[in-house]
Amino acid sequence: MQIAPELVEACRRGDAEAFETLVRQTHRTLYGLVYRIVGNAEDAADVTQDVYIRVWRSLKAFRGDASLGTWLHRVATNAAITHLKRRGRLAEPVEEWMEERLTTRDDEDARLSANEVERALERLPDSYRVVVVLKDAYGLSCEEIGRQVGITEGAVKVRLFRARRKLAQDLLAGGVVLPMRSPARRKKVQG
Amino acid sequence: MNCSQMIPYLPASSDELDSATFAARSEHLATCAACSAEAARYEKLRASLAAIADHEVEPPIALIPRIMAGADAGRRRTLPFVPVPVELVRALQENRELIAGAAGLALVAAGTAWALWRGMRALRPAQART
Repeated sequence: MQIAPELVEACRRGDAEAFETLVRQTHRTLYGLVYRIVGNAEDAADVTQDVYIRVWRSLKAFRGDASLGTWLHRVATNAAITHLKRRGRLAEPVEEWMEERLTTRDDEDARLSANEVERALERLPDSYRVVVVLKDAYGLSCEEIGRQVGITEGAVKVRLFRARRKLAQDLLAGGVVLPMRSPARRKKVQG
Repeated sequence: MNCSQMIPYLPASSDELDSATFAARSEHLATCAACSAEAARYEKLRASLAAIADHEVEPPIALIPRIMAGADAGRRRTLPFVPVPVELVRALQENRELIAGAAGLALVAAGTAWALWRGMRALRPAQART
């Protein structure tokens, strides 16, 4: 997210119109991030609203040592994870250890839309979805994710394994395979 | 490593593996078609997950009005109501020592006046009797 320095300064001065402009420029990105972490639209709207109210109240304290876009991502990630923690939704489900190979279909080369991936993410347990979204969609390290979620790096890796396996089974069972994407276009978020 | 031992590491990206495990996995994948194919599927999965960060999720239409209403409510709660002109407030701040001294003198004067009034009230019934 690129935000003009003049807009940031106007928001820091308490300019409500500037803040609304900031919201309009950034709300889709932040809502998408929050939605993918919390897993449903209603909670995502509540958390996104809280994020912006928090941002509005603390903009004067924003030191500018990171870009405002990075700071917004961090605030939104923290808020979404806190939302799940408060509702006890980050406990890991009890599962058998998976030793079997992935099942595959003959039409493995079929294409998958982003919507299919989003729906598959929604079907994941919250504790798995958080780690796989932060790692594979937003590029955080396992260490950063562990710090944010409050688990060890080893626990992050276990959840990543289970999340990816469930996603692969879900998506492959649905008869689709996912288009390769160039790593250069990947969006990295500083957690 | 054999295939059963390799399964937990097939979905992992290279930055998640220590150097020894990464080397062992690479060596195994070079000779095992089944594990190599499965690792490739996971690589495709990770690439597609990376793609969704650029995919827009449509927020509710009412989200922006909700945000601005919440921000406005917060702003009105935190701002104090100041009914006096800014110049008067500034003058009061600059002369606060003088004002404090004057207030002290006024208190002393008020206390003295009250004591005199009480004394005069005490005398009045004696004067009325005479």
